[in-house]
Amino acid sequence: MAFVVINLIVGSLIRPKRKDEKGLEPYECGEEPIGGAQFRFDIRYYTVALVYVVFAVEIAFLFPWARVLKEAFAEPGIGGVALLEGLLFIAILTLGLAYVWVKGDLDWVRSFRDLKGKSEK
Amino acid sequence: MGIVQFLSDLLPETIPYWALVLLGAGIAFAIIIAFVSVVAIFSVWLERKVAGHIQSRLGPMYVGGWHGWAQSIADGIKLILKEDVILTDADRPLFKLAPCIVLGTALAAFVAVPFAPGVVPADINLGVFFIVAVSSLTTIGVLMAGWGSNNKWSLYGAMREAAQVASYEIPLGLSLMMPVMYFGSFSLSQASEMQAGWGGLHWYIFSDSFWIAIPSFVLFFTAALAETKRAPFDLPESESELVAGFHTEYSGIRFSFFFMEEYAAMYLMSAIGTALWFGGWNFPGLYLLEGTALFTPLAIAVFVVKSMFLVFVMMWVRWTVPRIRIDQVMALGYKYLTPIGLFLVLVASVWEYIKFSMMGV
Repeated sequence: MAFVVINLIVGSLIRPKRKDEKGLEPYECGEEPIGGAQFRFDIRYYTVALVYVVFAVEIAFLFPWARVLKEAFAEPGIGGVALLEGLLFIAILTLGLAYVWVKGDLDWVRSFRDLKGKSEK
Repeated sequence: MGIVQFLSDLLPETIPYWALVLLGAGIAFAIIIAFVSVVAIFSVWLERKVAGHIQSRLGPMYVGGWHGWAQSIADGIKLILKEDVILTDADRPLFKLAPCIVLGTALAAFVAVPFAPGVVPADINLGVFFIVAVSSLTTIGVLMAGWGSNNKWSLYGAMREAAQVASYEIPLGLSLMMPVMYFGSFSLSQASEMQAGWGGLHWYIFSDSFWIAIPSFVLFFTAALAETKRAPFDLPESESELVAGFHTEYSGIRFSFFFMEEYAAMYLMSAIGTALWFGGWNFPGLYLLEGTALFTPLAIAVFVVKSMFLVFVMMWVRWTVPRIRIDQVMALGYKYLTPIGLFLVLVASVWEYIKFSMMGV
């Protein structure tokens, strides 16, 4: 952070300051911009974010399991159970992935006809 | 041995612990920043040379004399001298904070990278986890940049980046699970130490689990390319569609922070790959020098050369493979890499169990 700030200060001392109105407009390939850019966004980005959050949490749970797996094998009576539990967890995870896949939430390009067809069923 | 331990041995005991920690952090960050700046400057030059030679050109040839070695330094000076444009409609606090967050998180992740035995800014036992967590914070900075600049291109680039980086976080995490399982440790330096056998060639990729290590490394490398927004996954800044993506409206020194972050992130991913799959600082014959003054500099050199080679491979991929479409990127992440990653975790855990019950290791 300090590095960034120092660079900014040095920059502000030596760079030119020429403000003109056109230069401060958003760049849209030379066209006059129409409206602001802070508009509502496509819903599919939020679907991706939701799927990500679910999987990220699952992975956060899997990491400790992977870490202690070797030590768990050495404990009598825990080794096989630890392995099976992990495999069960991965199986559930795969099931979740398959569900999202079948639902079509993993498809980036979804035509409106497909969506209509689904809702009519 | 961490830097705080080193300082407390060096300085008198009257200095309180918190001062040592602060001093240590300051020194560590100064070293990291210096190192990352040099790496970034060198990588920019290397990238242009590699690009040139792949396309039968020469790349920069004039600045500084020998093969244009001073080109990126000259570019950096030029960027500092440029006007700093902030749009009238921009969200100023977000716009100004974004480059700091992006670069700060990229540098913070370097804290856990082991360069040589004992040469690691902070030997945290959650190294892998920490790096994955911190480096994914970059997305927030990029989203701030895209939203703050109030430009449609920037917003599209930032949203694409968020979607893409979020999706590839999952295969990245899954691919890191195989080495974690093999070494039984989150610490990158501990993982590197465990690859010291066979005269320095007992790397994970040559071990008895090599048939898991190789696909998991391919998975890791693909996900790392997407995480660092490198071609063929450079959708967030695809210049033919989105002008320059999220940093369209950034100019001068602020733009150079984004640029530096990209090369810092590339080096960081390569460093993780080196530490976990390619034996870290281990190299055949290097153990003979252990205990001499030459050992640590040579170990650092081995580590840096290995990870720079991976950076070179990233550049090689960029100038060889064409960019893919956004729906292909998302499909690759969720429909191919994630199931492959889950399958590999399954196979690796069963293999560890078989190894343990057969051979007891």
